[in-house]
Amino acid sequence: MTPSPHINPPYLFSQGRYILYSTLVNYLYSIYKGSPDKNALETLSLIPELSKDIDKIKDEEVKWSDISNLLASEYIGLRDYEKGYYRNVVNQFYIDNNYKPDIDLPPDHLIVQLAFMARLIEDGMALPMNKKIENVRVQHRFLKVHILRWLENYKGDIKLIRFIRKILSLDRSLLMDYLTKNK
Amino acid sequence: MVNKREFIKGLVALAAAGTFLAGYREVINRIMKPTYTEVKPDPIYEDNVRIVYSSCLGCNVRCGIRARVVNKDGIEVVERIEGNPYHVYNRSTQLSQIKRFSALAYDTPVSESLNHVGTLCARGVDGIHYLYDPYRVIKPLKRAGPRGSGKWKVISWEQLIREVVEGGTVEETGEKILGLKDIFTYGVLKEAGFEDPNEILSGIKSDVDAILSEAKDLSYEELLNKIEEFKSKWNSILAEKGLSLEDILIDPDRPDLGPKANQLIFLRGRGQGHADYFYKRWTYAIGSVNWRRHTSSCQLGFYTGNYLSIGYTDINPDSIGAKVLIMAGAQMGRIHPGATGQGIAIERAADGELKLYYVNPIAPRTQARGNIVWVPIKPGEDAALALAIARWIFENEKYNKEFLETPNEESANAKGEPVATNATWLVIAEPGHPREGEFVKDTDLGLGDSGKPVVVTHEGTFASIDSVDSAQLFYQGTIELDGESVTVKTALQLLKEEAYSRTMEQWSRICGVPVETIIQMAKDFTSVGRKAATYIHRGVAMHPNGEYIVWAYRALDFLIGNYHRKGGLMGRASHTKYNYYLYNTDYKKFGEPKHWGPPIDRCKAKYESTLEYWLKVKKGEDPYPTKRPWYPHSPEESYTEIFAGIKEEYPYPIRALFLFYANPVLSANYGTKFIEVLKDTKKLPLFVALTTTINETYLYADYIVPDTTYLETGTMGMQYLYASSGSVKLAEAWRTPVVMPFTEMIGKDPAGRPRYASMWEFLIDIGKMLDAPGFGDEGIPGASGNKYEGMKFPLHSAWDYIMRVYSNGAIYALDKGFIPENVPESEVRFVEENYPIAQFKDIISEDEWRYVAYCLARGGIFTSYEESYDENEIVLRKVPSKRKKYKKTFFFWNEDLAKSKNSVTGNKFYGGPKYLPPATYGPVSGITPSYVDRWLHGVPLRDIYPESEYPFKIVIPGSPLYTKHRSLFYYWMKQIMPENFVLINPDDAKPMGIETGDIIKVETPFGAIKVKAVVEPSVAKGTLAIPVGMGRWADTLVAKPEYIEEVKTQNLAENIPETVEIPEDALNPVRELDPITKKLLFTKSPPEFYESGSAYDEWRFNGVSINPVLSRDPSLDDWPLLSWLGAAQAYFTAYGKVSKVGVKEKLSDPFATY
Repeated sequence: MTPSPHINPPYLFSQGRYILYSTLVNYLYSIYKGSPDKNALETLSLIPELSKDIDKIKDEEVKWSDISNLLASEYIGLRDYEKGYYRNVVNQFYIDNNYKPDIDLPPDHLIVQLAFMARLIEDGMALPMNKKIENVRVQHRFLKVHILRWLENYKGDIKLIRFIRKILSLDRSLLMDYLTKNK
Repeated sequence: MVNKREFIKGLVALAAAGTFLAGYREVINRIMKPTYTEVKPDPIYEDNVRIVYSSCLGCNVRCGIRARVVNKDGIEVVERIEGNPYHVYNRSTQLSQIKRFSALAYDTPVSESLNHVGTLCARGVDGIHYLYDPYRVIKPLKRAGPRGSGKWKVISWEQLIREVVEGGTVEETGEKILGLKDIFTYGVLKEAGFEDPNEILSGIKSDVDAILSEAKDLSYEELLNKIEEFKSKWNSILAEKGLSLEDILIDPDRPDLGPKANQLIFLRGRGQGHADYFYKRWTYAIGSVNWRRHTSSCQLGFYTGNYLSIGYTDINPDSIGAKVLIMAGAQMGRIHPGATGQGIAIERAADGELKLYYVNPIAPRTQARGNIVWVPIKPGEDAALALAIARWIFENEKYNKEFLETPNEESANAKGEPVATNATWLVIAEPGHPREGEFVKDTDLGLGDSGKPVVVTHEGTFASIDSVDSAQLFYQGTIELDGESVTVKTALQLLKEEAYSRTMEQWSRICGVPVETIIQMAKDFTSVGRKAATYIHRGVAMHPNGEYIVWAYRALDFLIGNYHRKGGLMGRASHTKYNYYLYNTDYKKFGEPKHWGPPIDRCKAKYESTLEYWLKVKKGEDPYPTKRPWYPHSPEESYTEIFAGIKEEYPYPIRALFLFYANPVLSANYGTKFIEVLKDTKKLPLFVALTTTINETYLYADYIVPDTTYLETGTMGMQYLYASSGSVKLAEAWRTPVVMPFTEMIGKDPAGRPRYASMWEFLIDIGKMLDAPGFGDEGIPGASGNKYEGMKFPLHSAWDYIMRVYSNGAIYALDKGFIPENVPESEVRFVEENYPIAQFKDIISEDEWRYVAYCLARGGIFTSYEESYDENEIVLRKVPSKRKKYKKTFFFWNEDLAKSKNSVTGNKFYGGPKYLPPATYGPVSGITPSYVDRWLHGVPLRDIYPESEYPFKIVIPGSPLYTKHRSLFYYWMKQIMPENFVLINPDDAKPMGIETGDIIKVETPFGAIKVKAVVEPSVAKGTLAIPVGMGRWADTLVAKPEYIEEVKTQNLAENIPETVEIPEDALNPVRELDPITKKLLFTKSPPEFYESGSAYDEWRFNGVSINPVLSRDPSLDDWPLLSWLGAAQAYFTAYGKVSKVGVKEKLSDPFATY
């Protein structure tokens, strides 16, 4: 007889999301630094469902010039003078949640946005239940409004970006499920 | 397309794979920074900062600490205390780690360790308030009025020493206080002119032993003659120097009682480290047997139950390797390894690696995702639960047959087992037979003449235990014994019959645990091989029947054979030879006087070995009842029996009580009973308190010796760790001063080193003034077999002692390879720049100092879990045992117990695990017990205090915050839990209309208190829980406990003065701190409190303690109720009723934290 089974701990799920986001950030950052580190993606192969995608991404050669303009403000149909304003809005979102970017990139770059998501996930893991829901709400809002909104408009060929879009869409629906269940 | 469900599973798997992303987190943190200031480990390399690794004393667990001391304009302030990342309990954390912290590798450079923080509980962190307590006494005091008047005056250190040795006068009342000099028997002999007093004492003892060994074969007259011959011989020898036996022995007609020196008691409460060895050494240097401890108020029932069954007191499981634990009567956040060390068990449970059944009337603090299961139980009825589980194990044959069938240690070892059991040994089970309860011996059956027990082979023949390697487990039959047919059974047969004596339903009704839960517990317990264990403590043991409960639980462990193995039960980790390696700093073999005689509390002493017994027997008198009970199986000491012994002058009168770091008046059930003894200057002529503040017990002292805290020199030295000690091979925490003492400087030693008022210096000066062995110029001998053999070293100060202790530990560790030979200079420098103790390094050699520094820099010596087991997962330690034989055998039946007798009835005790209800020790006049069992000597308490009248059971849980009454000064913790209350289950509260905030009266048969109610389901129905640690009425100042309505037969209020008179300059080491620090320390206190030290502060005196009205034993003159076998304070056996008072108050904090 085995001991009574325990419930799958939700915090492991959060940890997994953190690992997911931080892996993506690390890979993109390595491209930003000029030394793409494909080994950084190996971690995600631990998810069997993603291993085929990972193999394809590893075959792809991505340079910084390919992704340097992955800015939200470039993809949501803003006029030039509106882009600066939008970036301030995004920056303010970070500040309102106690963070500020410290990298030489616009605040609405994909790398910065994903790093912020990772921070929110990590914060949420440490929160008590009654504060966790609010944290998830913030994650969901940012993901939906500030990342996916522009990513969905991405028409380029970079498999990596398409992959990220796919994963983040899935993640958003999980967050939605969580919020619905814990209304 | 990725399926959502699969994606979630994938994410969980990703995390569960334990992917360690130190580098990845770094990138995230670099890109996105917090807008708030992050708290980082404090930098060490600042000119005004010192860092010291030491060991905590917030409770008894001995976690490691790292203290940060900041010099602010010339005044040092201990600013922060964190955990020690090297210590096996604390577990190092790093910002990059997500989970599953573990101790830092021992050889990690100290500089690197500063980047890690060890976990530490709230008490440890708040140790700062122990140090900075305005009520602390810093100068010696003498009473300036009758005992307990609250009047004190400052005296000089010299006067203190002189009067304690030679006696003094209370000038204000004219009373004479007797000193120690004339009971220092060794000194009396020496002063009379006997060059070698030990020759005389040894001779006397030898003759006493001879009388005792012959007593059973003598007639009454012959015995009296022997005593007269003894007296004549020794009076004549002593007369040569003008002495007589009256000057030497307590009672020349009873030479077995020992020398007059026995009339000194040194009783300690919280003892740790080398303080414990030091005052034991001092007590033996005076020649007294009465070095006593507070264990009855701590865990004596647990110790005694373990001792009877396993042969060792302190046994608990490896919670790092266990897969199933039954945690019964143990407080989450308190039992070893404490709040800090228990984290690993909770984490493992949360991760599904451990299933933990929390058997307790109070709910656990977490359910760890369903893997910590609360099993509410009726207090005191755990034996029913354990025996029900045993029943299931027998019914389903889930015991470890091969292990249990092995009858001797040699065969067990050959099979790869570290221990054997006596499951197969045959017990004489014939009711009423004079040898009932004894083992059948080979001599009984003509099988041999060794006197060894006998088993039944698988072929059905009898054999001596060491002649076979396997025997029958379950056997019942008859043998011929002295011409009589006598029933015999194996020990396991007896246990099985006890387990089957009731159905599962009946057991369930007794303990209150549903049958299906019991069965699930049994299934889980037996489903993981040997990686299941019981994890038990005082909640199950501090009952009259406590030892039998412990035994019943431990029987479960040995049914599956988990002892001394990974995931199973084990004793303590080993430690270095800190007492005897280069130097003999031990409590023996330093030239101490010969001592003998029973201790005052009669624990670990056999009445049937005394002249009292033999004189009565030989005279034809019934030797029972005795004046007070004897507890031959109790491995440690009893508060109640110490004070009862003093009051009754039994076995002998007492001259002096030295009480260190203890508070029996408050900590024992009905401890206020002891006040009548403490106030009695005839029964207790000299009462000396060694303490930091004047508590409810010290209120009645003649002298107050100011002591130091653990952040100074208090209890410095090595701390062994209690079972299972982090489950490692060797572990010891080193405690060293973080700051120099705040008490008065009393002078310098001959080498010019400063000395401060403390227990250490007090005992050294008394020892020197008496010229006792072990003190002065040649106080510390070199240990034989090592480089200092034959040499002597001085003992003039605490530093002389402790440096040599550190040296012993370090050099042993070096020789055994626990520390490296090449100690980096940087590590030595770290200690020399940061540790106050370093200024005394010249006491030992330079070489020794290097290695001492290495250990000090890490706060101790620790091995790792990974290196602590062999390939068969047996722990690499010696099997611990205090037995003289059968050291590695678990006893399902204990013959010594079965032969011993209840001191009141003269009837034998049952010798194995058994269910008996909580009852008095002996019969109570006028009450016929409703529960009929010939092994029950007393009256079930429920016959005396029926449930219809007292429907509730009362328990006093500790917590990760407060563990004892001295926790009251942890002011940061007070902000989390400012007051205590009584927890009551909603199903009990609702019918009575009780709501949270109602003041209710909790009435026991012995009195009543008023307390605020908190209604919540975290306490079992039918139980009231009052968290321990508050309700003080004396802590240098006094405040009468208004919450106590009545203590029956005692006018407590009369024994507490209205106020105290104490010179302000004798108190308050806080006054010299800067104003900001004082305000930060005492944010909620009025400034007078921390500016003067003699102003009342509400937080020190709020809350309640139910102890004064807890259980007594009417069969023993209404002294506090004790356990039958160990004399443990039975404070968890208490009954009560409640009623509303009609007043409602708000809780200080809306979240009832406890």
